[in-house]
Amino acid sequence: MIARFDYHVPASLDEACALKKEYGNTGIVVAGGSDVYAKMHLGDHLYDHVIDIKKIEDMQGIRWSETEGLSLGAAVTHHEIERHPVIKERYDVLVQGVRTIGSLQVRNRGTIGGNICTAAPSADGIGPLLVLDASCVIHGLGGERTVPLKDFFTGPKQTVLADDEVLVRVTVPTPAPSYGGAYFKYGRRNAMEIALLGISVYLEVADDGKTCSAMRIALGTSAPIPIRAQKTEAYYIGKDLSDRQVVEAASSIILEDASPRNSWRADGEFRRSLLKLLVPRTVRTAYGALTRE
Amino acid sequence: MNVRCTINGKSVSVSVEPGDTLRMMLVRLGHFSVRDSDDGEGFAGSDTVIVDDRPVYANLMLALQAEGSVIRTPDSLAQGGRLSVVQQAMIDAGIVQSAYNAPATALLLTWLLEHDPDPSRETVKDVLSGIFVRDTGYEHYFLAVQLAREYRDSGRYASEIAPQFRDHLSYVGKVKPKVDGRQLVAGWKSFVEDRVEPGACTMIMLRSPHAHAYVTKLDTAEAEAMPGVIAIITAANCPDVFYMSAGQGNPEPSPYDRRLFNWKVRHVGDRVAAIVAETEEQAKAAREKIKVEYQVLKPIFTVEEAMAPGAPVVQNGVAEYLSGAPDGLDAYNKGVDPREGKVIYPFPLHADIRRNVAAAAHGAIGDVAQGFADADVVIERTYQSSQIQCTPLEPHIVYTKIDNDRLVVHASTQVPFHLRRIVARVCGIDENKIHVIKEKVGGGYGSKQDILVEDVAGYATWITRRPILYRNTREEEFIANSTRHPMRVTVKMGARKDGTLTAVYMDVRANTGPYGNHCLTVPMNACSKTLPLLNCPNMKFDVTTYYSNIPPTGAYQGYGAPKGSYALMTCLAEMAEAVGVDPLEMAKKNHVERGFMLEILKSLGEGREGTVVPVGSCGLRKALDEGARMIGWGKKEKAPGNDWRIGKGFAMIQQGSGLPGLDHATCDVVLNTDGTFMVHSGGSDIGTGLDTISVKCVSEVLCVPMEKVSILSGDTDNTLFDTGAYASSGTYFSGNATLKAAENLKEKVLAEAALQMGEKVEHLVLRAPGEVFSNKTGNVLSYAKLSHDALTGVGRGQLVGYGSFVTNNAAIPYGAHFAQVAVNVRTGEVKVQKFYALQDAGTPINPELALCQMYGAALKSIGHSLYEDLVLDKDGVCLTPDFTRYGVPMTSELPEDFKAVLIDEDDEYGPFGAKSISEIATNGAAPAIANAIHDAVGVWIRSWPFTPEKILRQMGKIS
Ligand SMILES: Cc1cc2nc3c(=O)[nH]c(=O)nc-3n(C[C@H](O)[C@H](O)[C@H](O)COP(=O)(O)OP(=O)(O)OC[C@H]3O[C@@H](n4cnc5c(N)ncnc54)[C@H](O)[C@@H]3O)c2cc1C
Ligand code: FES
Repeated sequence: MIARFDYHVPASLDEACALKKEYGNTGIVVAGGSDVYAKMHLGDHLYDHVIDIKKIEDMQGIRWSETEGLSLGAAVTHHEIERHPVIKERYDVLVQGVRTIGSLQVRNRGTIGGNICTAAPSADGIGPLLVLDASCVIHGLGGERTVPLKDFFTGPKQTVLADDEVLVRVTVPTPAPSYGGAYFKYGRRNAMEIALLGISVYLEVADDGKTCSAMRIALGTSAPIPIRAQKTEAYYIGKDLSDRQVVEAASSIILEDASPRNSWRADGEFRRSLLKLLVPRTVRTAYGALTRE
Repeated sequence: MNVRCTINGKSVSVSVEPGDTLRMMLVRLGHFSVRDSDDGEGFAGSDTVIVDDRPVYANLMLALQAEGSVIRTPDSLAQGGRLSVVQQAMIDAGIVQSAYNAPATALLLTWLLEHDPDPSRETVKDVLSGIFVRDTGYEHYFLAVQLAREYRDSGRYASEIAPQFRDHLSYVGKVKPKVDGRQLVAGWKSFVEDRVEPGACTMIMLRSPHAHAYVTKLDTAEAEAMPGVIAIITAANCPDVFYMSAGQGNPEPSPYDRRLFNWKVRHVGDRVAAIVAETEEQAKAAREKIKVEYQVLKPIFTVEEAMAPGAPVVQNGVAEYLSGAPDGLDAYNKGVDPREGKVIYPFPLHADIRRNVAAAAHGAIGDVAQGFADADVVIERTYQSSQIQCTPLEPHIVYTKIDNDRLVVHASTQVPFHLRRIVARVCGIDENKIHVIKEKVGGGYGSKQDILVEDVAGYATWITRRPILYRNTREEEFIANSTRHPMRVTVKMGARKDGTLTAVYMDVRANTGPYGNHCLTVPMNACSKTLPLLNCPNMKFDVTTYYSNIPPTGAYQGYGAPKGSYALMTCLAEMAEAVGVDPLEMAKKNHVERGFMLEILKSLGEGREGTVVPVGSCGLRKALDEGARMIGWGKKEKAPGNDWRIGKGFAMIQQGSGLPGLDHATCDVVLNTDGTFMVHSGGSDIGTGLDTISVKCVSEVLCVPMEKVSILSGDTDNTLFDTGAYASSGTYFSGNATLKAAENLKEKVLAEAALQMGEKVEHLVLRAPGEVFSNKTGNVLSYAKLSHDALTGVGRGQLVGYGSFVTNNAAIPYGAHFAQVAVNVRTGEVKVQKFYALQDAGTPINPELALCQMYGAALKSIGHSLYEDLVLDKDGVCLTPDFTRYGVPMTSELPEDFKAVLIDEDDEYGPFGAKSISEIATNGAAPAIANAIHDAVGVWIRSWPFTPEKILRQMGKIS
């Protein structure tokens, strides 16, 4: 049973922002609702007002051009992303990420905006967008601003969104014509599972086909918020990615970027050993994806 | 507010509240096949509907969001009474069993085939990734899709569904549609929730936040004055009746150690108050107003803590005995705190509640000390199993009402007759005042052998005279239901160099949690369903069960056997390593075969002396040989990468078929006036196909098509007594009772026909499609005419066959499960590459259902072995109270190569040679996988679940 609330369907961004501001803690913005309604189901009275933004025009659709890159409406579902031909071809790492979310039924409702705004450290859509250097287009009553996704999360389940702001779109620059990307989700089970560790990698190499010229690594469930592993990224620049030992040597650095602690799901030492092992492995997978092209 | 949308092709405009989910709206419109298994967690998929051509969860969408949408529910599939191709294929494949989300699955698969007419296995797996089932292990879902495609393309099935058995029989051993399959797959009214009438009240529970505490103050005055509140029941006003929740035989082998509500709470989630109100909202509001104060006591959670000198005592009440009271009871009971209540023993269980011992038992054959002295090698190992949950898709639910001045209980139960007895005791009324109707059961697995909700709801209705619906939340299923007892089993084993066992000793320490339901029988079963696999002459066991403050335990498919089997079979493999003998050779040297006298059973009766019987039909050797061949025993496999190692393992398994000497089943079969038949069976079909077995028995004996036989079962007013569906008794006991009733009716039909035809009985035979034929005269008398003439006012009345089945003979199913795993030496991950379940079920009466049950049981025990775990924090609060966190196997967890194989054996005592099938299938995975992990990476994992962490730790990779 879901508790009682008033239901609002703002027609425009401004209207949505005004409602969000007006209701503050007593209201909640809802897109697909897969997070919000699941939480509300037990009948606990969490909110007096639900602000349904799923149909707001500016939040719809997937746009793409070589020069402008990709622009995802916040209300785009995981399913739409999964089957989009350009995303499949050029942003495969994002498809790899969202495909691991829940089940078909969840991906048909859940949105990329919701995945980002929930700000769960385990979110499978965030890591790939982080390494693709995505930015968030935010609308507030004062107008629009753009924030790099890596600066979007401010604390556990906290974001930069102000009381009157919503996420409108996510923009992703066009990646290099040749790059390697990989997403690796580690869980106890293979589906319908919260990631115990999520690793996203984007890399580019120089003309020799092996010297790393760009490296972006994002880690999920390794810190209270989704993070980039900047020290590890720096390590890889200029390194020979075809050399397995060189790739694996990053394991001595990775814990400077993230050092997960004990939780009931796994103890800290195990999670740290996984990080050391799986980050280089995912880099190798991404490198493999590049050289295959 | 109004929603306009199209539902199953009809435009509708519906008035809804903003907080209504799409599911609430659909259910109100009569689409009750859109169900919920997890309070909107979005895990189990029972609420799947298609909105604008995309499958979604109706619980995770507001009704208002469906504005303008085109919606399809499972009700769109069957046209009138005609099932769709997919629905029929699901029945024929054997996957419509407890079926709580079968309609949702049918809809999803229909949608899939519309979009991808010939989907790959991977696609089917992905589409089903949001559907959870426990009973059939997913494997035949692929077959159902295949069958549907074949039928669609050619009007018939090309694939084999299951092997068929016994050429001389027409129904038994054949693939035939399950008799309740249509209703279940179509989503027609079936379950308790479908019986609730308008105006029914809701009951909810207030539960303890503490694991161990006295209730020092209870104030319900304000709550009782709240609008809509009808009754609040607590320790202050509940009957002063002690009872037990386990639906077991009478005299009950568990202590009466609880009342409906107690002054002491013994686990987080223990009941404190029941609130009955006109609506759920009102009940919840009132619950907030109940004031409770607790005096918190130190809790204990493990066997070790319970055993420790000076440990807090969980059940510290007055001990009473209905028989066999020990000496010195007065001294024992001196100074007991009245808030502790009582512990009443129907007969002694060798308990010592002051030391937290709930029950104990011992037994031996031969001379174990001598056996160990004669051994070349002696090893001793301890294995720990964890607490796991049955997770039926349909939670515990009951609807109670008064009709004709009697209490009517619509129950989702495995034990309607025990339920009636226990509710009668609690309410202080006679059994004739209670009518229990077993509805379709959306999954039981043992947890519905306990009377966990019917006791309070029944009592509440009895005192208020109001119809009441009670349904556990999913969280309550995890914290206040029954679970597998955690057990610590130590095995000491002696063997000669050649691998012959000389002595075996099992020390079982079980954790029963707050109450003693099944506290003797589950741990005994850890021995009684494992030691008799071995022909070793010297065997001994000690069983001790302890109270603690973990969530309650009880029966779970396999009962004690999976834990005993894990310990004994892993130890056998450890011994094989110790003496340097191949584990398969070692097993073959030491297992029993037909004719072996099972002396050990004498000391393994459930509270009485057991009956010693010889091993009857036994497919153990065949299962071992065939499994070894299939998996390539001894052959080294190529690893999928540098970090992976491959290993193989197996385990021998057995169970029982009911409890000889304890169980009892009765049945009658009536010849209707038109020559058709009505079966009244006391047996409880909980989705497994017992009703189909009964119908097949009658069809076979009376030579009529199954369509001419209908069945009513598990209804205490309208069917005869049966102990119920537990201990793998259905086929053997209830099936045999029906068979006897059918044979009895056959005699009566022949006798009546002889009179009517003026012939001698010796010359008459029954023949299809339902007539009596004279070998002598060639005359024929149809059942219709025979019955009509018997009932025209001059005849001798209705022909009714009666069957009552009790026995001391055992029909023991045997088998072997084989696993091949890949273990990653760096991450500790385990992949089950192959899992082969080979079982001798005697004659599989429903072969397709039997296979699916083997898959289901094997997959759930793979889950138990690898990841499922009920985790508590230091205060006893459950950290895994939902499916996602607890972690159950979904399609993505299927072994890459999964096969269930029926080993053909004919049993002399089972109906048409049948033995039990499904409980046994939970006994193999843990030891088979543990042994395979050892074969792969050389370490023994001696506790559940076999997590990557434990494996790496054992390998010395992490500290
Ligand atoms: C069964 C199940 C399984 C799941 N499995 C996974 C998984 O494997 N991996 C994973 O990453 N996630 C998973 N999820 C979580 C969830 O489905 C995703 O995070 C999804 O993307 C959320 O999108 P939504 O539109 O449904 O969010 P909603 O529930 O609508 O909203 C989520 C949060 O974001 C806010 N929000 C949404 N849109 C905006 C916006 N445009 N501007 C500002 N705030 C906004 C809401 O206020 C709310 O706080 C699962 C959920 C369920 C129910
Ligand atoms: S939300 Fe789907 S079964 Fe509960």
